[in-house]
Amino acid sequence: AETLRLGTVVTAPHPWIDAAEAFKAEVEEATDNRITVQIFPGGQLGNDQTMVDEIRIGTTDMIIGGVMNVSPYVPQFEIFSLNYLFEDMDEFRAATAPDSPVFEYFDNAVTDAGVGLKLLSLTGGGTRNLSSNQGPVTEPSDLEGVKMRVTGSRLDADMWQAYGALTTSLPWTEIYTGMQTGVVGAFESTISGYFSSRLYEVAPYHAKTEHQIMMSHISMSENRFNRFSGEDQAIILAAAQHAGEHGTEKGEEYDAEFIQQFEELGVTVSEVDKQAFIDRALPLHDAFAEEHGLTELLQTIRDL
Amino acid sequence: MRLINDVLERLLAVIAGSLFAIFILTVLYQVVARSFLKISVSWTDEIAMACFIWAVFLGAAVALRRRRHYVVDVFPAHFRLTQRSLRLFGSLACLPVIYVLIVNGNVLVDMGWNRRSVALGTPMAYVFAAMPVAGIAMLAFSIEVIVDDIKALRDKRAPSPSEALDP
Amino acid sequence: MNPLITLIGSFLLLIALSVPIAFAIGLASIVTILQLGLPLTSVVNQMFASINSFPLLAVPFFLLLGRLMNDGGITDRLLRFADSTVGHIRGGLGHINVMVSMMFASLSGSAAADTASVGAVLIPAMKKSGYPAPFAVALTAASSVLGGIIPPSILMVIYGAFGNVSVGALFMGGVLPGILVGVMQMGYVYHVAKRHGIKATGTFSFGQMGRTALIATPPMLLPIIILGGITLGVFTATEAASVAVLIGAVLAFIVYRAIPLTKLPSILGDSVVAFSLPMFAVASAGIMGWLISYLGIAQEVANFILSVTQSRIGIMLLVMSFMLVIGTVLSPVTAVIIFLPIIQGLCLAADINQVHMALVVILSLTLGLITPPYGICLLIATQIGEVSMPRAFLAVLPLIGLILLVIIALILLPSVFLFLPQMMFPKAF
Ligand code: NA
Ligand code: NA
Repeated sequence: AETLRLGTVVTAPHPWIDAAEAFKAEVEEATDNRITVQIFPGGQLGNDQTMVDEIRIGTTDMIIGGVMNVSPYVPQFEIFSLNYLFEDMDEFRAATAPDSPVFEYFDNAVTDAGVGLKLLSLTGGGTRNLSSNQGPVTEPSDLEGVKMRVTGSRLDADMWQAYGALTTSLPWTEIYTGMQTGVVGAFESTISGYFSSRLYEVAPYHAKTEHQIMMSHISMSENRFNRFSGEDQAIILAAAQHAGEHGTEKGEEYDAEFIQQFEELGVTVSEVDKQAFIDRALPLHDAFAEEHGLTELLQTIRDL
Repeated sequence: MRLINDVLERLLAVIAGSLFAIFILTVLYQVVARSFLKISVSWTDEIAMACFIWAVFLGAAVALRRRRHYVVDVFPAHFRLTQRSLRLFGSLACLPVIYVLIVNGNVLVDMGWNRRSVALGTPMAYVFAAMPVAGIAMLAFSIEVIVDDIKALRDKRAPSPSEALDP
Repeated sequence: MNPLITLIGSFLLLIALSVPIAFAIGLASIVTILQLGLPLTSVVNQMFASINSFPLLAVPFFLLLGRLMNDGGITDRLLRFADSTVGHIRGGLGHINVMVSMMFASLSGSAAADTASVGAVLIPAMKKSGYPAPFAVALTAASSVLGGIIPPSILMVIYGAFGNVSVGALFMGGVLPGILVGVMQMGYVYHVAKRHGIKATGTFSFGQMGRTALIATPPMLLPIIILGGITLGVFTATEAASVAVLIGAVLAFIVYRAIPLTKLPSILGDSVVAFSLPMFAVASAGIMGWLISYLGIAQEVANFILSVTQSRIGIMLLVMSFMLVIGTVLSPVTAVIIFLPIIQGLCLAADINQVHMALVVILSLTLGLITPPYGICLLIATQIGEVSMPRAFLAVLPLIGLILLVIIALILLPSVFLFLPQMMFPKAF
C-alpha cells in the first residue's frame, strides 16, 4: 500500500479534520487500501509554510489549511483576505464548487506558480468574527482608535485601518497574553479559533461581523499526484471534492454549535450593522484588485 | 589560511553585530510607532526576524572557529590522547552537517525564490541564504580547526592553543 | 534497524564522542533521514522553521542587557545595594538569585531570557563571593525555570491553545508549584551557603542602604519600567526586552560613561556569538522534533504506556518520566505540540483531569530546560559561568530533585494543587 501523509495545523474538532477524515475514508475504500492516508493534525509536521516546503522537498504529500497561508507562494490567494468578498454562504459554495470559474482559476494559478503543488479542492474553515475586551462592537466607529491584532499581511492591516483600528501584527499564540495586558484590545478570528483557544476568557465581547468565510484548500504534491494512474487520480480528485463539501458543511455546523455556548461562557454576543461594515470595505476591493491585476477575478467572484 | 580566516571571522562578527543592531532598532521602532506615534507597522517583525536568523547562523559560524559550541566531555581532562582524538573526531563530525547546510541550503534558497514574505513580499531566498553562506564560512573555519587538531594530536607534549583557550 | 533507534542511538553515541551537541543532533538526524531514503533538504527547512519564531527574539536582548549591565557598572551598583539590604543574611546572593527569578517569572514567559539576564549579573557576583561556580550556574538555571511555571507562561498558552484547555486555569495552577519550587530552592541555598561557610557580609545599616539605594536608583527603575510597560499594555515581553536594552545602553555609555562608545561594535559582535549558540541548538533540535512526529513514534508510546498500567497515578508517573526524558532533547513547545494528542488520549482512556495532566506535563518539560544534554537554561548558564557541563550537571542534580518532589506532590495531591484553578475557573473542570 502507498501512504499519503496529510498535514494540518488544527486539532479536532475542526472542519479541516473532518474533511481530512472524509478524504481518508473515501480514498481507502475506493482503492481497497491500495492507497492509505495518514493524518498529522496539530501542526506536527510544522506550520503551513513549513509543510508546503516539505511537500516541495518530497517528505509530505498533502495539506489542508487556510489559503492565506499559501499566498506567499500563490499571491492571487490573497484576494480571499478581503472582508465581505462573498455575499453569503451560497455564493461561497458556488465559488468552491469544482466546476466553478473561481476553482478553475486557482487550479491554474497554483500550477502556474511552479511550486509543485496541485490544488485538489477548495473548502470552508468557518466564519470569521471580531472579538474585543473593550465593549460590544456594533458599528465601524466602535473600532476607532482600538489597538487591533492582525496578521503580518498588509491587506489585513488596510482592511481594519479602514474602520479606524490601530493595527499591530502579533503571532496567533500571543493574542491571549496580548489581550490580557492590553497590547491589543481586539482581534478577528474564526469562531472555532476563538472557542478552542479559549480566547473568550480575555475577550468577552464577540461581534458577529461575519466579515469572512475562511477560504481553505486541500492540496497535494504535484509530483506525487502525477505518478498515480488516471483511475487513481480520479478517485483522489473526487474524494477531495467530497471532503471539501463536507468541510464547508461542518464549518457551518460547528459555528452554530459554538456560538450557542458563548452566552453560558459569559460572552456578550452582538449583532452588527453589517451594511456599514460592508460599505467601508468595498472601495478596498477595487483598489486591491487593481493593484494586483486581479480585477477580472474580482468580477468573476461578483458574478457568481 | 589563518590570515584569511582572521579576516573572515572579523568580517562576519561585524556583519552579525550590525544585523543585531538593526533588529534592536527595528523592535524599538515598533514600540514607538504603536504606542507613541500611533501608527500601524507590519514590516518590523519581518525585518527583525530576518536579521535574527542571519545573526544566528553567522554567529554559529564564528563560534565554530572559537570552539564555543557546547560539548559534553565524558572523559576526564588528563586522558590527553583520548581528549585530543575525540576533539579531532568532533571537528570531523561537524563536516556532514556543514555539507548539508551548504548543498541543501542552496536547494532551499532556490525554492525560496517562489516563497514570499507576508508583509514585505520579498522572496524568502534572502533569508534562507543565511544557511549556505554560514555553511561556507563554517567549512573554511573547520579546515583550520581540523588542521590544528591533527597538529595537537601529533604533538604529544605541549597543549594546543585551542586547549589553552578553553575554560 | 528501527529508525527511532538509529536516531536516538547515534545521537547519544555522538554526544559521548565529544561532538558539539548542536552538530550531534544534526548528524543523527541526517543519518536517520538517509536511512529512511528521504531528501536532506528537510534538514535545512526544519532548522529554519524552528528558529523562525518571534518569542525567541527576547533571548538576544536579555543576553545583551546582561553584558551592558556588567561592563557598564550597572551590576556593581545593583549588587552593592542588594548586598547592603540582604548581604547580612547567610546566602544573600543566592536568595536574591531565586527572588529575582520569581519576580522575573511574573513578567516574562521565557526561562531562557531569565537565565541570560539574571545569570549575567549574578553568576560572576556569586563566584566572587565564594560560591562554587557550578553551584552558581546550577542555581541560576534551576531558578529561571520558574519563568515557565509562574504565569504568564508561553508554554501554558500554547498547551491551552492546542489542547483546548483553559489557559486561565493553567495559569492559576502554576502559582502554587511555582512558589513551592522557589521557596525550596531558597532553603537549599541556605544549606549550601552554610556548608561552604559563606559568611554574611558586614552588618546592616540604614545609612549604607540609603547611600547604595541612591546609586542604584536609575538601574532599579529598569524592572519597574518593564513591569509597568507590560502591565499597561505598552509593549509585549519581547519589546520590553528591547526597551530595557536601550535604557541599559544609555546608562552604560552616557550616564555612567563606563564603556567607551568605540567598544559598541565589539560588544554587539560578542553578544551575537553568545546567543547564536543556544539558538543554533534550537535549530538543530527542530529537525529531530520533526522526525519524531514524522515517524509516528508518539502513538507507539501511548500504546506502550496503556499496556504497562491503567491506573491514574501510574499513567501520570509514566507520562512524567517520559516527558523528563523527552525534555532533555526537545524544546518544551515542540514536545507539547508533538505529544499532546497522545497525552489527551491517555486522559480520556483513564479519566484523568486535563488541567491536572497539563500541569504535570508542563512542569516535567520545564525541568528539561535544566537537564543535559539539551537543557537550554543550563547551557546558557554554563556559558556565562564558564563551567563545564558535567560539573554543572552534578551541581544541578539536587535542584532537579527538588522540582521532581513538587511534580510528584502535584500528581499525588490534586485536591491541594487544583484548588486555586478550580475556584477561579470552575468551568474548566
Ligand atoms: Na535565577
Ligand atoms: Na512566567
